[in-house]
Amino acid sequence: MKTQRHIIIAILLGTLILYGYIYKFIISPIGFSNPTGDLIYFGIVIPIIILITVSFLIRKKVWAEPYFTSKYNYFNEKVRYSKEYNIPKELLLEKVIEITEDSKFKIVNIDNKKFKIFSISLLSHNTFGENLYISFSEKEDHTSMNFCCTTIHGYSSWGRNKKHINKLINQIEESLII
Amino acid sequence: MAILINLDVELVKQKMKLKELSEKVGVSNVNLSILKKGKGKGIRFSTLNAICKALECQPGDILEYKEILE
Repeated sequence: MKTQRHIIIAILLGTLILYGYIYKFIISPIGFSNPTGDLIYFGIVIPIIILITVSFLIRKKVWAEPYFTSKYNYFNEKVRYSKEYNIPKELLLEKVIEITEDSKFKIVNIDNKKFKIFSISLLSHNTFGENLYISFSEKEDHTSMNFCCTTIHGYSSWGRNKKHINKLINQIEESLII
Repeated sequence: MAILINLDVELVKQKMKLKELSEKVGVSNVNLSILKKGKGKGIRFSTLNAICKALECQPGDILEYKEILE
């Protein structure tokens, strides 16, 4: 159901963007300009292009974490997951760094004081890339590992966010057999 | 857990540091720390073999079963 909604929204936006481009570069130059076409071009196409560009420019910035992980950011999809281990958070942090380095994610920043890891997956033919934020918090004798995987720009990650987290969790579980 | 890991005892006996053992065994320092604290989910025979070889000891010197009443 959710995927159907994503497809409909993607098709609608795609149609509007396509119309915006056709209007601006084909219809308008030959002299058939109209207010609706201008509105679509300047009101939808240009803001989306600006938003994508800005998202790309700030994706590797640590300070942009609140922007990408905010629940009010409706332009990207976020998947959150939490898992508890009875391993001290200092050790777990080191462990996750080791695993992340071996995965397709590239570590951008490690905050040893706040116990946070920020890593990104690179651009490929089917994705703009994803940001992965991992934080650790201690609860009694357990360490809670909190994942937040976000798309850079996209209403849906088509299951990639969840897949990334599951893969990482599996790798952590596997690596606990030493 | 009822299985105790006595890696630290064997390390003291051999006057060896964890980092040194890590280099000899080919297992990362983090993994050995997890194992030493008994937080691992299991141990491979290959790892046990390498540890016993490096510390010149028997598997029974590293692993111990102790009944824990719950």
